[in-house]
This record gives sequence, C-alpha cells and structure tokens, in this order.
Amino acid sequence: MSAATNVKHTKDGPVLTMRQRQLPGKIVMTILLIGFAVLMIVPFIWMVSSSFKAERDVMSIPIQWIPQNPSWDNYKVVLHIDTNKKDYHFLLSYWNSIKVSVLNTLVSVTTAATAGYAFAKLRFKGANVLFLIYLAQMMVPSQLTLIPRFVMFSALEMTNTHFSIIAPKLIAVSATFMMRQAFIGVPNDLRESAMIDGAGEWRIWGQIMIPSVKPTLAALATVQFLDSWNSYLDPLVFLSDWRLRTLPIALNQFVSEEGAQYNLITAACCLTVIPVFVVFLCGQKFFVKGLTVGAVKG
Amino acid sequence: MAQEHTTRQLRASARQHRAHPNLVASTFLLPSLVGLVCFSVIPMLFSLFISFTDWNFLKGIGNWNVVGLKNFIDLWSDEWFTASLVNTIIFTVVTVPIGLFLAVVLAVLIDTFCAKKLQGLVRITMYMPKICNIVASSAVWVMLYSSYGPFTQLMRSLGWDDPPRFLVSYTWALPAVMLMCIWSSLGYQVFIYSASLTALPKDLYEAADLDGVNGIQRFFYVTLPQLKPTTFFLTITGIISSFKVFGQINVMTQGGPGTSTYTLVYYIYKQAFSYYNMGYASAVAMILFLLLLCVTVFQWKHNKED
Amino acid sequence: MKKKWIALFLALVMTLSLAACGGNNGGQQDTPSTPAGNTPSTPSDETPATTPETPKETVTLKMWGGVQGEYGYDTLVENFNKEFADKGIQVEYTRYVNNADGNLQLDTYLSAGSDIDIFMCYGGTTRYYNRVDAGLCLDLTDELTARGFDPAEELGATNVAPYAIDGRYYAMPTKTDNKAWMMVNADMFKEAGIELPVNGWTYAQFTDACQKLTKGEGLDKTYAVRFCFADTKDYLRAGMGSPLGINSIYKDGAAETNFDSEVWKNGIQLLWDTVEAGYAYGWDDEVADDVSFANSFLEGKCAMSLGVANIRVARDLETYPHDFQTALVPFPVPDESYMDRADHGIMSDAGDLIVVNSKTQYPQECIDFIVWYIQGGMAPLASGGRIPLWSGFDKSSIVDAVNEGTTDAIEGGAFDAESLKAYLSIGTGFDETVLVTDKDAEVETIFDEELQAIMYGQKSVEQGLADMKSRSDALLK
Repeated sequence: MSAATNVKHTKDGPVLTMRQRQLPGKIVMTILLIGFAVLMIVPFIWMVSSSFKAERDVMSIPIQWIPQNPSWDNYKVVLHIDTNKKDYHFLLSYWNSIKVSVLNTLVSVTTAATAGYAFAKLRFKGANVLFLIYLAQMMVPSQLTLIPRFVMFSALEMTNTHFSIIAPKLIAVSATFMMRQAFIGVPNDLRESAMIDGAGEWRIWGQIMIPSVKPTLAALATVQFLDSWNSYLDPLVFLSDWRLRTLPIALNQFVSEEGAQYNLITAACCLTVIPVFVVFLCGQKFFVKGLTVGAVKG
Repeated sequence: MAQEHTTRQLRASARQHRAHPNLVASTFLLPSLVGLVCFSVIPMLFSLFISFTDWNFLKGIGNWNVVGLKNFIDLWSDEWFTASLVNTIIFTVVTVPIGLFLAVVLAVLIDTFCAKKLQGLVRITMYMPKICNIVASSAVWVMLYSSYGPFTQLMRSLGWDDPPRFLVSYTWALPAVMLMCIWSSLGYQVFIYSASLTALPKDLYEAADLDGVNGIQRFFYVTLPQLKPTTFFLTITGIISSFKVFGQINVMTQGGPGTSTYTLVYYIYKQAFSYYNMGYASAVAMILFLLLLCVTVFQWKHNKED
Repeated sequence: MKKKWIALFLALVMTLSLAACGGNNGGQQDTPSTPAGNTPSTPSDETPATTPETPKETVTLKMWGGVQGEYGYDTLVENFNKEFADKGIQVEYTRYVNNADGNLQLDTYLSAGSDIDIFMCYGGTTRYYNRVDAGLCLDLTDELTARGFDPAEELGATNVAPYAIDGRYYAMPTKTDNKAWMMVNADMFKEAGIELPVNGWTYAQFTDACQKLTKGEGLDKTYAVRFCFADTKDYLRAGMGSPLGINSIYKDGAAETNFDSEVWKNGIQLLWDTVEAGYAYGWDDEVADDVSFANSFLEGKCAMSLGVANIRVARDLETYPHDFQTALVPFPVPDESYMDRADHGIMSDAGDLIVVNSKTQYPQECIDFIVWYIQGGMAPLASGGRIPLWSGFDKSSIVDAVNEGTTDAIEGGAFDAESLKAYLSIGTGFDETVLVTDKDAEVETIFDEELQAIMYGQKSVEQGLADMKSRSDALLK
C-alpha cells in the first residue's frame, strides 16, 4: 500500500487530485444516469399523464406531458363509477388477482420451505435421486406443460376455476432451491440441541428453522407474489370466464375491446400497475435480496 | 466421562428421532412431490406422448391416433413454424447481447460515477419496467409506437421524416418488439451486475490504477473478465426467457404482420388454443424443450468446468 | 394406471380445495352458469335445478350465444320463459365472446359435459364441421321431421344445404345477411352531393365518390372507406367475388380455385388503388391504430364501412352517441356489364347456427326451443340487424324496429329507411349448388395471407393472386 502511494507520487504528483479531478465528471455522470433512468420510465410517466387526459389530447402534437384539463373521468369509466357505460368489472379482477396471488404465494412458499428443508437437513432414502429429478424439472418450462395441464383440468371440468392456476404452484423448483440454500446456511447445532430436548422435525422446522430463514422467506414471498400478480399465459388459457379473470387478463380484454381509446387504456394500465409499484417500493429491501440470492452465485 | 455421556445420549436421541427418517422426510416432501408428479412429470410425459399423435382437442381424450414422427417431420415444411423458430433465434441473438452490454456499461457507470446516495434510486427506477405486468407495458408501447405516439414523434423530431408504423411493418415489427423487451429486462440485468460489482475484490483495480490504465481499458481488461460468471448467468437466463417470449407478442402484434413476429411459444399457443391441434402444438413444444435442454446442458457443463 | 393417477390427483384436489380455498367462496365461482353477483340477466331465484323445492317437471335449458343480452336475447329469453312457463321449460342465456378465447371456453365446456344445452355457432361452416366431427352436435333431423318442420321449406333449400352432412342436420341456420353490402354515412353522402347508390354502382363511381368523401389530413382526416382489413375478410371476399356468383372461390366442382379470374384481379386492384390514393385506411393503419367500426365510422371519421353486421351498434345511440343517419348500400361491381346483379342478391347467406349439445339431458325440450326460436321467437334480435331466415317471418316490421327509439336524436331515425328496405328486399336465393370443401378454412387463410402480402406491398397483385391460386389448388388436390 505504501509502495503504491510512493509510485503515484513520483508519477502524477499529489494523490488527492485524482479524486478531485473526478468530481465534476461525477456530477455530470450522475445527472446523465438519472436522466437515463428517467428515460426508462418515460413510458410510465406518459401513461400516467395520458390517463388524466381527454381522448383527443392523448396523441396531440407536441406531447402534453402535463394534462391541460386533468380529470378522473377515465378512471370513472374504467371502474364503472357514475357512468352508464359498460362495466368492465375491474374491481372483481382486483379481488381475483389478490386472492390468487396470495394463495399462490402461500402455497409455493410453504411447499418450497418444507421440501427445501427436507433436502437440506433430512437424511432419507433416495434423497440424491429425488434431488436430481428436481434439478431436471428446472429445465421443463411451464409453457411445455401448459397443454397437458389444460387437458388434465378440462377432463376434470376444472378449467375456469382458480384452483387450476393455484395447484400447479405446489411445485416451485427454483424456490425450493432457494430455501434449501437458506436452510443449509443455518448451523446444525440449533437443530441438534432441539432434538436433544425431544422436539420432532416439524417442531424444529416451525420453531427454529423457519424463524432463522425469515429474510429469505420474505424475499421469496415478494418474488412469488409479483410473479403471480403479473402472470399472463396461464390465466389467459385457464380463466376464460370473466368472473374469474385476474388483472392482466381483464386488462388484455379491455385493451382488445377498447382498441384506440388510449385515454381509457392508460387509465386501466395505471390501475393495474400503480399498486405493484407501491408494493415494490415498500418491499424493495426483501425484493432486492430475493433477486440477488439466486443470481449472483451464477 | 460427562462428555461421553452426552454424546451417547445425543446419538441415542438422534437415532430415536430418526426412527422413521423416510416417513418424516416424506411428510415434508409430500406436497411438493404431489405437485411435481401431477403438474410436471405427468404433463411432461403426456406432452411427449401426444406429440406423436394427431390429437385434436375437440375429439376428446382418448380419440387420438399415434402417427409416429409425422408431426416432427411436418414441422420443417410448415412455414409458420420455421418463421417462428427463426424469429425466436433472431430475437435471442439480438436482445441478449445488446441488453447485457447496455446493462454492464450502466452498472459500471453507476458504480463508479454515480453519487452513492443516488445509486439505489437510479437502479430501482430502472427496475420499474420489469415489475410492470406485461400486458400493461405492452399496451403502453403499442401506444408509444402508434402513428402519432411519442416514440414515432421522437423519431420524427430526430430527423426521420417518414417513420413507419413500427408494429405493423414487415421490417420493423420484430425490432420494435425487441426494443421493448430490452427495455423491460434491462433493469434486472443492471441490478444483478451491480450486486456482483460490489462483491468484486478491490485490489485488482488498485493494481490497474497503478499501471495508469484509463477508464475504458480498465472496463475491458479488469471489470469485464471479473464479471464473467455473472455475464454467463445472465446470458443463460436471458436466452431462456427470450425463448419463451409470449406476452409482448400476444398484446403488441399477435404474430403479425404475416409471420414476422411469430415466436415459438406464440405458435404453440395459437396451434393449441385456437386450432386445437394439441398433438402438433406439443411437437412444437418439444422442439422448444430440446432447445432449452441444449442451453441448460451447456450451462451445467460450463459450471462444472469452473 | 391412468385411473390411479387421476384418483391421486382428485384426492389432492379435494384436500387442497378444503385447505386453500376453505374460508372464502372460491368454490362458488366454479360454475359460470350460476353467475355470481354482477350479471344483470340473472333472475333473483338462484336455486340450482337439482334442489327439491323446484318442481321436477321444470327444465332449465342453458343457452350460450355470442351476442350481449341487451341486444335482444334478454327480451327473447323473457318471452320464451313466459310462453313456456306452464309447459315446464325455461331458458337461461349466457354470452360468450365470439373470439378464439371465447370459443375455447365454449368448446371446453362442450367436450366436458352437459353444462350447456344449446349454443350458437358462428363463422360459417368451419367451426360447425369441426364440432360435428368431434361429436358435439346433436343430430336434429328426425326430431325436426317429427315436429313437421321441414328445413328446406321453412328456411330455403339452398340455405340449409351447406349444413347437411350426409343428409343429416346437426344445426339450423337462423338469420340471413348479405356480406356484400356495407354501411355508409348518409349525411356525408348528401353533403358531398352523391346519391345513395342503393341499387348498385360501379368501381369507377365508387372511386369518384371516395375522392369526394376524403377530407383533411393527419389526426383530423376523414377517410372515405374502411375495408375491414383488421377484421374479418368475409366482406371483401363477398363483395369482390360476387360477380362470379355464389361459388366465387371455387370452380369445376371445387377441383380448383377461381383466383385466376379477372374479377379478383380487378377487385384487389381497386383495394390497392383506393388505399394508395389515401381514400381508405391501409391494412397497417387499421391494425396499428385499432380502427374499429365504433371508433371510425361512428365517430364520423370514415364515410363507408364494409359489412352490415354492426346494425345493432349503429342504432345504440346511448353507448355510441352520434347524430348522422346510416344507410346500407351494396359493394360496387367492376363495370356496367355487371349492373344486373349489382344488388349481390346471390351472396345472401344464412348464418348464426343454432346447435344442440349432443350431451344434453333434455333433447326434446331443446328442439322445442329451437323450433320456437326459428319460427319467430328470435324477432327481438331483428332490430339489431339479425334478420330471421324463416320464410314465415314478416320483414316489413324490421325497418320500424331498427329505428325505434332513435327518431328523437336523428331525424328519420338512425337508419335511412329506403336503403334498409332495399337491403331487405334483395333476393335471397341462388340457383347454383354451393360448393363446400373441407379445405374452406385453409383456403380462406391463404386468401387472407396473400391479400395481406399484396396490401403491404410485399407482392404485386398478379404475384399475390398467382400464389393464392397455386397454394389453394395444391390443397384441393
């Protein structure tokens, strides 16, 4: 370290100027980067602003970034408040989305937490083989099993039930891996001492293991919730009944029916997107962790 | 003496608790296993089976004829399939490298130049497109691309006198969808790169500083090689997710015009759920699976070597 | 083996529905036939048909159709239920969206069981043949005969012929329409000094009118015509092909296609020229800007729109307020030599198939219903433009029914009465046998694809037509 400073001295003069010289550059760069970040969300800014405009103002030239006569009318039409126009049942879709996402998250996190625990801490016959089978499932995309799942559920007359999109969440392979990694990280002493106290595996799991992997659980739950909230293909195929539709599907229907009524479409989009942004900004800490846990290791 | 006692006790109790280790484990695994069997293994086998049949969904379960490899042979003379395959590959080959390059540059710029307090904010902002549901973001892009939409207006103001209607042009539809996809996944890639960057050892940079390398050299000779594992991970996930692209296509172009934006998953969806050709659609799904399999096997091999 | 898995699966299903959906009413929403809450059409009594309180004789038939209840089906169902209350038959109507997703939903229910008793089948013969082929449609022939209902006599021999498979009827067409007619903005025509071509016009007159009707630039542009490129191409096929007769697509007993005919070349050239001149929305304009009947024609942004299927929309002034009168005119013909058939009477077509699910538990009651439906029961739909095909139907009431309730807002009503009368009075027969092949759907797809390539400038008109012909002929061999 001291050698390094010496060399620098001889080469470029005083050391500190380096950082000082960078300062204006840093400010410019920071501004540029913020500018780029804003550019990335320009579509959303435009979306929010258009949702308050009248139809003819949406595509005006030049673009009005701040609506001249902002009004809630578009939202009223979309949500069917004080209007004799068609009811799009957005609130019902909201409820469906909440219900499905919560149940999906519960189901997938629970099964991932139990199975992950078994793979991390329990010894049982065939563990390795089973683990390999799980690994192999990573390669099976849900698009591939879509057709058979559809056939299976329609044979049981269970398409057009929320069950058909919740039940498959029993198997969440990558979530299971994430939980397995987390459980492996919990020291064995805790578990052994509990065993000496005579606790069974389920009690150990519930009272010792789960509390010690809470951050991972929260991360997993956030990721799963967002995944399920935004899921599109499965509900599109399984839920054709409007009473069961989740938000993306309701929005899809809305877009295809209202076509060029951009003011209404942007309002509908805002309604589906803003809550997620809020959830995301509140839960970002967990979410960031959830994203990086599986990824950084590579 | 006392120690020996505890050890024995521990072993004994451990043995006691592991009286039925398989049983205990199976209670933990049961829900997940049921899911695995019902929603992954059986469907997979079923899908494999019907890909060898001429089954049409309307005819009901059981009314199928095994036709051997017919579907797999017919595929190659089906211009919709070949177009879907080619588009999917173009899609991947273009979006993944461009997206990753942008992401790594941005991540490094944020890491080195952005004021520390603002770094998180910048990254979160860039991440927004990813958490927006695909229908909403696609619908917004449809409007951006429309003849008087902001994107088209921007192109006009940049001196492109007669911009096409991007989403309905044979030439521009696919690039337009690709741009939207790069936009929507860029934030995620920046995120992952940033996380890896903070984990990089600092001594190499110091050594590089000593050698008097400039920023660009430093980026190419120090940072990029260090980020290789992350780049590899993101390449694989990027390839996989662009193989599976569906939502954007269904909302923005529905495969059109002509076959210009048909992708594999969209074609599977069309064949299966508009034309009910479950056998044929499953054959296409199998091709998709094989492609993904190649990518994954390549990844495993690579990981082993490391 | 398979059974075992299904049993396992079912066990899982039950545990999970108990565990996961237990508290809330998840299970309630499983059956769409008992709508939860918001549907206006649901009668207050929600007791399922199986409960002991309902008298056993009353049968409730479930019918699915593609039209919203308020466009006639609500009234129709009400009428039927009143009339048949003492006979113990009731009907319940559910609307499905007639697109890929909606038909998937319908087909899923049909192949699963008997949740649906009667359904409407759209889209010509293609979906019908597939559904008959899959055994989803009940053979109506004997029951109709037993009721003294002779399809050929009641609905017209040529109208029902395409729906007979080996002499058996699995569906009955119910309405008549003419796809070679279109809807025009009568006020715009008047303003431009163009007389309504109710009795037909030529391509030259059409182009001339287009020039007069096109106005403005950019966002404020008023187009002369919308060819429905982004919608069904049926209208274009009917309009352009009409000079060739009912079998405009096939010739020589369907051994080959007609796409080498001058008629097709002239027709497509007309489309190309009209779009090039800026009189009509291009294919890409329609798709890119989601041009629909409601957001173009009804907003006064275009003067003509192909097809007459939107009568119900154009008279719905509450949802789509507008103050101009709409008229119906035929698609133009190439030149004077075709003026004798310029009303396209030969293209009049039967449609809206009514079908009984082969798995229904009440075949007798279903057939009672469809006979009633055909023989005047569907009258409430006429005001929405679904004109009953039944020979006994009195068409004179339609004009008033269509304009009912619109005369306050628009002088003379939403529709120009003269043109509507002209439309209703065109011939509905053709002396040729309709050629039908099992490749109809594929040939139509090829037509659409090549037409798209032409309209996008990817191929010349000649090249596109040549490809259209060679590709379809290859299929027919």
